[in-house]
Amino acid sequence: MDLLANIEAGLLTAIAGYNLFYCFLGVFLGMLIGVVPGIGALAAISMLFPITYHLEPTSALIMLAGIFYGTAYGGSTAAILLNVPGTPSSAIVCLDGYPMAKQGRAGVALFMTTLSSFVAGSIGIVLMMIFSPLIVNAARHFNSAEYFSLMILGLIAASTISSGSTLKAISMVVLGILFGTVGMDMYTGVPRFNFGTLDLMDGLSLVAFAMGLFGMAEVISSIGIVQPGEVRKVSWRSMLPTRSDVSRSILPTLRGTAIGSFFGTLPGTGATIASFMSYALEKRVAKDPSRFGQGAIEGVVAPEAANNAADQTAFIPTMTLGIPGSATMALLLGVLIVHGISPGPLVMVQHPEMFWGLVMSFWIGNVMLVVLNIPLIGIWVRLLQVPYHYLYPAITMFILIGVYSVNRSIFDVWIVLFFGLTGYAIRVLGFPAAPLLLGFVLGPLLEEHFRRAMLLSQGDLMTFVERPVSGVIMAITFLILIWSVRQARSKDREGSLSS
Amino acid sequence: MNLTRIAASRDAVGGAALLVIGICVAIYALMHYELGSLNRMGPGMVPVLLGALLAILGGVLVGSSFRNNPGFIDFDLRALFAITMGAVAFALLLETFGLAPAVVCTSLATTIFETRLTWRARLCLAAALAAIAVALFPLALGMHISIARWPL
Repeated sequence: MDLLANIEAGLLTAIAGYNLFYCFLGVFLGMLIGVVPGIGALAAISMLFPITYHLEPTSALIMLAGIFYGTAYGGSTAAILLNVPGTPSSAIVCLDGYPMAKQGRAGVALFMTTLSSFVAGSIGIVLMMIFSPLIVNAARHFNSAEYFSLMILGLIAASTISSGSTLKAISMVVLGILFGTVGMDMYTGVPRFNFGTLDLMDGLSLVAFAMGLFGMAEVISSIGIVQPGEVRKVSWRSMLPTRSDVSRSILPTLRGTAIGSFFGTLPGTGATIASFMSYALEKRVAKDPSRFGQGAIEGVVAPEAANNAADQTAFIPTMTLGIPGSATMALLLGVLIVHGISPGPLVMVQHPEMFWGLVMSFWIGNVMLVVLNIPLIGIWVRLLQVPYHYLYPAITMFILIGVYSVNRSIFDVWIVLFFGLTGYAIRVLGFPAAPLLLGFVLGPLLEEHFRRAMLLSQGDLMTFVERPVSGVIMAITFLILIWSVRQARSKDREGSLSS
Repeated sequence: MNLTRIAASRDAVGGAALLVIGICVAIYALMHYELGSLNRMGPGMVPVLLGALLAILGGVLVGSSFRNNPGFIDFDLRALFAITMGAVAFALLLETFGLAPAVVCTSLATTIFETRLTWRARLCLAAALAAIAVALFPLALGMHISIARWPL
């Protein structure tokens, strides 16, 4: 069995001492950051990105991935105990988790979410193990036209399906690609938009870009907002679920996993949307929908299962096709690019130990999360009481030192400030920041494949439509665009009718 | 929280900014970089196309903003100023005076408008952060950076 051999090799990579350590570090930091409201996985990963320059790419991926799925565990803790979602994908858990806490059932809620997160995460990993090799096999015959079309599909889907205005999201993608063109042109060697400085020859630093946009901008906009509330104590005994808690959770967990696994693989949807969808589904199938919002356990476990499954399956398009479905995944691809590995189907073929090591580390990481999450709840409770006015100077400091340490360059500190201000302006004006980062990361690849496809087809733009696979992808992209325009039209009409 | 409020449409302001950026980028790229042909693209082709696309998207945003209520733009000027000052202090001080003074000044600058902290708490926080930074980066992680120095 090829699969078994791969799993074995992957397991050996994942349990190698240093990888085990970085996996632990990743999930621990992820949980910590997930608990603290005001910094999400994206900010955390961009803050720790500089460290990964000194690591093997496999260890770096394992650690950053651990942060990513670890935040999903931590996020629900803050949602249940404080009614403040630690991460956006846990927002919906507040609806029933906090009422449960008020009824003195916080312990049960925390225990059951940990359990359902683990089940969902495990199923997500199995799906990744089964489908990734199939996708890679299909993608082996792709050339530049297909890659270009796939990236366009990813960018358009990410812009349209996520909440808010499609037009604004697409304009952010275009702006991001433009920021990506700064630096040396890869075909001609001409430096672009460097305005005479050597500092911009290699392009804008991804770390400074991401930390400014998500770390610093987030700090500026949360200073006045995040206020810790009262936190209840959670004892060991209070965590024991009753038999009816368990039997009520089984089907919602599985349904949540199914929804999460599906939406996780789609570009642009991901954990947040999956958790909202699964909550809505549970409410619809429930015998007594009025219990929802009053502390129904189904409303806690289903969304948690959905966001954990989605966090795992999100790796499928990222690792097999090199197409990130979210800004966080784009950063993980950034790790590969930094280490000279170009993302795409070849990653799995040329670096099997890395791919399978990462997959197997997910198992280990999920087990660690279950084992760690419950005993650490006492610490999280105390952490939630630290006021934000002690945290934000510390976060600012870590951002600044982190950015500087990558290239030991003061210039990058100015860049992070520039993108911090840009990111804040974007938020204030109601534009989404994630498509900007997606565009920035994918931009250079997009341009490379566009130009290569044009070289191959001798300047014939029809190549994107005439090649069968590329044509199908373009058709799907076109349909998504049409759908989103119609959606926006009908929303407009509703808006004008009501006003 | 002290928010500054401006009566203007967010879409109009954002769209106009994108329109201007798009036009500037396209013109700059046209003037400085070779366009080439579709078959063999020069360095300027993609930036010109993207700049034009951005300008169009910005224009559409401005145009569609007239159909809705203008609304307001709210932002936190104090937070903006405090964090900016923190970053500026860090950038100016780090390589001349070393890590500890830079972190102290950054921390003091970011908390400058913080009404929830007393002056003593602010100084303690700054000192604690400097201690953490020194213990973590030069000492534990082995980053090559001077902890404190006097250049004059």
